[in-house]
Amino acid sequence: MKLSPFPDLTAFLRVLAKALAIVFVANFLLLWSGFNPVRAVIMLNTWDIVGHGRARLVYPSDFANGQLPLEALFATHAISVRPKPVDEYRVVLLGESGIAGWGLPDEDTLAEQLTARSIRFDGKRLIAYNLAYPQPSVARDVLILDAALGYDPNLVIWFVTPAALNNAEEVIGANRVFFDLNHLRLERLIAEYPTLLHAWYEGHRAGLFTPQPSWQRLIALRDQDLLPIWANALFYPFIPPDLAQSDRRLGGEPVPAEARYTNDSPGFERMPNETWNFLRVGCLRAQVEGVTLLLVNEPMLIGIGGHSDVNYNAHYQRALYDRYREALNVFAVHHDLWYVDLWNIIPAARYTDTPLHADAEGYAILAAALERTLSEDRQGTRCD
Amino acid sequence: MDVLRIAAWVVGLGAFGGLIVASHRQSSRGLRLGLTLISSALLIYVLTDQPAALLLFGLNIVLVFGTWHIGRTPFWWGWIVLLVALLILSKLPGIRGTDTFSAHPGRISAAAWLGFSYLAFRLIHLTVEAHAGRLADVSLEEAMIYALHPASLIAGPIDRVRTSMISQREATSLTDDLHQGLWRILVGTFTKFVIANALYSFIAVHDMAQNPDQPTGIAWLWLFAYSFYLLADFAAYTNIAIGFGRLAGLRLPENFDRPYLSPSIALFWQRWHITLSNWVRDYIFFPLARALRSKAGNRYRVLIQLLCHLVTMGVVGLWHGLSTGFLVWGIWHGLGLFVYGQISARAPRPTPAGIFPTRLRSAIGIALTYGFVTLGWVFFAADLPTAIRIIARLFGLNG
Repeated sequence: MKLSPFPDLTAFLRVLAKALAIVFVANFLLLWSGFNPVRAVIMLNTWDIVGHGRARLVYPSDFANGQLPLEALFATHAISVRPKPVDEYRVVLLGESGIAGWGLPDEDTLAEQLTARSIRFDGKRLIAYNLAYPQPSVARDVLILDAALGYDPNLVIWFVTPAALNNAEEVIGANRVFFDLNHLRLERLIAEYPTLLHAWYEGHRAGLFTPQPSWQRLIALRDQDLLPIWANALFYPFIPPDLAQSDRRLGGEPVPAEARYTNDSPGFERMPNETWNFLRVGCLRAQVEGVTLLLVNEPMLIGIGGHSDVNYNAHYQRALYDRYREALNVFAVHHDLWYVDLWNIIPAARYTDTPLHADAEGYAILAAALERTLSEDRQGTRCD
Repeated sequence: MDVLRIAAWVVGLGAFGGLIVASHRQSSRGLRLGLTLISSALLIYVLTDQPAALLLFGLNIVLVFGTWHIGRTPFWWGWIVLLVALLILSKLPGIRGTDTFSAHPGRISAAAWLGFSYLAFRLIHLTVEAHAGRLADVSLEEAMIYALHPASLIAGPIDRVRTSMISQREATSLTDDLHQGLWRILVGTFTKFVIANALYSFIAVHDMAQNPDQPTGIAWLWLFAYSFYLLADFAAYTNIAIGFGRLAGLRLPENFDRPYLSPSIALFWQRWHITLSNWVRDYIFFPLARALRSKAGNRYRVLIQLLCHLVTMGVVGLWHGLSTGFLVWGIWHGLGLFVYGQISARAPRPTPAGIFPTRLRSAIGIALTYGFVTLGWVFFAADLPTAIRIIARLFGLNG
């Protein structure tokens, strides 16, 4: 390769010109047909062929660079491997890293523990699918919910936290890569629910997507950077649960003086705010598909000692969290959402490295509480 | 893109186009030097987007002048000390960091002193040659074109002044140079944007340097990807540099020759960053070995060899950056070269009828050399504590 294989400059330039012409023609044919070859390739997943589908969505270790579009995430997941059996009562779980089972092996996650309880409704066995994803955001969750509705769930259990409902640009922007990859789905939802989402969209549009020069729209042969990430998705898991596992137990530690979120933190000035409308959009989307939606206030550490008189834990100041709980309760009642507040159901001793990450026993307690809720109070979705 | 930058692109490309024509017409050295300096200055400007980077480029010109004149005086060694001091300075944290002039007005950003690592070695070579009186037939213009040519300014290779001078004087065919130059640029661009960038995407997602707690299998995959990324990335830049040099009628030396197919670590360093390893061999290893042997004779021959390998490769490591990781990477290779030298000096000369057939022996040598080199890249990729954790992870330990 040191010397050109072509006999002279004219031959070289002729071949180069032909190659460029083929690339241009292929590019414009792909643009015209709306076909993106890379997006097609990343839908193929050997994990389905060699295994049983992932128990959870792919977690990238490099969150800012290593994500895949939702279609590709679902292509790797167990929920897409085979058609739903007739005797399955399909439940999908939405939420953030704690519900996804950060630091836990598959069998100890909430979804697997819920399935293991062999709950039956109307002769059908409850099978729970873990669709939770790190980084709190109800906007992100609604996109996952929207995709999940294509897999015929019976029930969506959606765990929320104050951070997931935060309206600050910085918190919402933490999911920018996710929004970039799934912008068409987000824009479709905004178009479908303009009265609920337009104000949020206008307020956050600048920070939602990475700006792209207009000329990039003329390039169909794009997204190649997804290919190595897709190749990574063939290895399970990205962040292995056993390596993320923590021996730490926050319940034994005093509550710190500083909480990450306080009453003064940006994005919490008003509760509810525009971001909260995603709860209503999620409910409406589920209702359209005839799917029940249960909204859950996610359990968190209620610490003792130290500055526990001011803060519940390192994440939340008491004043802020109490205001949030009250607002969420009022919001759920006002909009007729099926809602259960399980904020204190898991004992402090069960929390590991963060106030929202519990151990296997913690999630066993939560699974039992959910079983009680579902058995005693199963309702159809009635969104207002 | 602001107007100034667009203008810099246009003028820079125009100047380089002029340099291509002037070089092939064998125009006056003054004209070629002028076009060389304009192209290089504007290349630096468009890459850094910092007007102040031009001041550093001006300093480069002053340093070449200084080298040309002081190299011929008894103070030549003091000039080398100054160049080494500037090289160290250019790599200090805060100077080498990503701080820009806009963020810290008045503070020199090393991002702006692009290519000084290469320039410093070229200037040290020039100083030694001037001191030895070997520049009698080289003109100042030729020396400046050698030191500051836009093709090799940013990422080498580290040419020698005499080969550069011969190349500058040689009349070559414009069409042939355009053909071969564009071909090398095409190969380099493909290697960079298709192969190296794809490998980088893989590395970035499983970045062991940021998160060493990943499974052993992934750690090995990351390391293999990293080893080929380094080769692809650097070889791509070299191809592009050689290609642009060729466009301007300058034959730059090759820097890579299938290094991962080397059957020994000694051969590896004759095939990986060839111009750098030749430079340190000529200006560090041999002079140091001669100096130590002249003092100690043959009594400490083995110790001297060990010391020379460690110092030489330690400098190679630190030349990449002032960090313990780079230093350990250099020492790793220094030890490898020393051990290999000792074994090969004592081992019986292999014969085709020996225990291992030649091809099998070569294959084992290639595998061992690649394994040794690749394991060493861990120190290149991460700081020392993280590198140790990565190595533990590679061998299934918890670190």
